[in-house]
Amino acid sequence: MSLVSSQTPASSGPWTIVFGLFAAGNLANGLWMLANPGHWYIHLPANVPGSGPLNEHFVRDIGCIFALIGIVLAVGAFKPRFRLTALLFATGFYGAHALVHVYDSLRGLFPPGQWRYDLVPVYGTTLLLVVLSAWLAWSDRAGRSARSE
Amino acid sequence: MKAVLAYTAAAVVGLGLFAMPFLQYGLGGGHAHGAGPHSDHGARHGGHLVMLRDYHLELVEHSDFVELYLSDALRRPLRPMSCSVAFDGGPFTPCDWHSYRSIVPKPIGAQSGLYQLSVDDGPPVILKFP
Repeated sequence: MSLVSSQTPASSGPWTIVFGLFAAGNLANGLWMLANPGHWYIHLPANVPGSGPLNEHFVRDIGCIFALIGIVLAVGAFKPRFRLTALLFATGFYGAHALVHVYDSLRGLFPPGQWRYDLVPVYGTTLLLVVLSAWLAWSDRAGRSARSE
Repeated sequence: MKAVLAYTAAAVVGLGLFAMPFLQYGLGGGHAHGAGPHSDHGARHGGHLVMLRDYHLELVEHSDFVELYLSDALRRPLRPMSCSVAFDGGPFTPCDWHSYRSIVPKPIGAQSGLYQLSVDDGPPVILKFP
């Protein structure tokens, strides 16, 4: 993904694909949680019931943030100047969520083997978001410098 | 060639990120409080948990309605094929089973009840209360 350019960032291209797919995943999950919390609770391919009983209101609350992240990322997909803000917003949420997993694992809410399950889906993907955010920030800055010269 | 690689990498990263929201709640046995079948016999809804055959049933009695939660050996919620309930020896009436629980109104003054659930091809699961 060549992102350093002396031109204005394109509103289509590799970053549009990344943002578009990430937005679609967040929107799909958020809308599922909002539309049918009970169905999401049972049918998500994970052991959600293992972490406690269903609270439909809380599932919908969390669905709001997933849907909101999806909307912001969708805007970022087609409006390059919003991309860094959108990605930092998503990274902030997923980073905070990963810290909650660390905290709950350390205090024993999760069984000892939880690290193994969380390693790639929670911590690995959050690290990927941090790397992508740093990359986007760096390429934005390099692009601005090139345009001002 | 460089553009093809860039778009391929973007698609791979994008697909990984697409799946990310669905993977925040643990895979497989992740988040399970117990290590295996029948290792978790805690009531999760403030009721009384009983084991019948290989199933967990949690009954929550309120003053005017009764909730019933059904789960398998790993405490994964189940929906029975059929469910009926009778109070104080009266006739059985079908339970209203929502996505993860049954809620039935409790007749005023009812002292006892009897659930009958078809969960699998075996005999029905019978739960008496209190």
